[in-house]
Amino acid sequence: MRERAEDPREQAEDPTFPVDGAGEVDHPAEQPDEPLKEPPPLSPWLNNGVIVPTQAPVHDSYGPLVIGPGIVVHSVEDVLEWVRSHSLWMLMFGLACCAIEMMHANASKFDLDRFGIMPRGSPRQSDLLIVSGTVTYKVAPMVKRVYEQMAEPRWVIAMGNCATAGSLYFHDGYSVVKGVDQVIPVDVYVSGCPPRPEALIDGIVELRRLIEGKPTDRGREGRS
Amino acid sequence: MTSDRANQQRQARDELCEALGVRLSGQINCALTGPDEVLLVRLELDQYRPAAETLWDRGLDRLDFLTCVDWRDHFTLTLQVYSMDSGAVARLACDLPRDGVPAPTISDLWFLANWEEREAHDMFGLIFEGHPDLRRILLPEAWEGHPLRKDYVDRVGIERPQYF
Repeated sequence: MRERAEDPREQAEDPTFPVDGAGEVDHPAEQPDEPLKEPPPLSPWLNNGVIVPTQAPVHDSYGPLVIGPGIVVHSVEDVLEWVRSHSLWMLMFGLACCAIEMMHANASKFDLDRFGIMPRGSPRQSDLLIVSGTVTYKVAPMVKRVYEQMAEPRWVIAMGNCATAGSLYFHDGYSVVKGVDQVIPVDVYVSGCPPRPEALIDGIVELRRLIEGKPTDRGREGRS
Repeated sequence: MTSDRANQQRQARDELCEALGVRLSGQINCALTGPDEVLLVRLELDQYRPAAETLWDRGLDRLDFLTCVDWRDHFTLTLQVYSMDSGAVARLACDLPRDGVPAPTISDLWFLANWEEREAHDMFGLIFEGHPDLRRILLPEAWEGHPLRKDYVDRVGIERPQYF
């Protein structure tokens, strides 16, 4: 049995085992004239890439932690909640006379666009469902289906007394669902018959505080 | 009521009454109701379909409404038709017993009667013979009872119906 590793000539003939240095051209190594300097520190708040806070975190505040000029430390979840609360795309979904007020809130006088709320034509593109009007037993499966088509995270505002609790159809109305929260979960209730656009905007601001985990005006703790 | 339009309406109404009398062989109960003197024809059940056909043939091409009244012992099926050309208005009222005797459909004459008869079926439980699609129109399919009947018992106060 031959031992190929001990014979350098046979090893050189085998192309799969080239001899060290074969086929290489020697280049003179370009040595720098002066040695590399130590790079200057990026900022006094960075120590070898580790962020050093220059102030103690304040637990009462909900905002981001500013540790220096241009440097903000914040959790990804809070940033996501901030982004989501400022770009609520609502579904164009009107059921009754509350939809007129919802359209009015969308129009130029009240301008829900300044809250980042834009009406969308498809539930698959929307984050916010404003149940604006009377929900009958006939239309309740459609409301539920629309809600189930929305991608998470999704929020629901029950606008007006009918969507909140059945309103004037509460006792004697045979055909009206006594509150849309029997069908789908509701985040914010807006009372009124119908509520004015200011009330709807108040509910939307309340929903934004809920999304951001801030304490709301009504004394309830938001999700955080 | 002295304008040409009013005279035309009155003339058309008289011709209509005459045509109804001819079609129903004189067995006709006509009256003029209201300040506008609208022709009201009270019919038996077997006169309902011939009278409606007569109105359709005379050019009363618009169905204003078709509804029902519950008198606790019987129903009254009521409809009003209108002519776009002559302005003639006619109302038909036909008494129906309460035990589910079917009424003939008029949805092949006025297309609007399709949905109106579905609504009367939904709210009062009337049966229209020959209707192409007699389903509930306003309430869920699984609904029990007919809410505008006087003897309807609402289930909402007793139990909460689950239709979703």
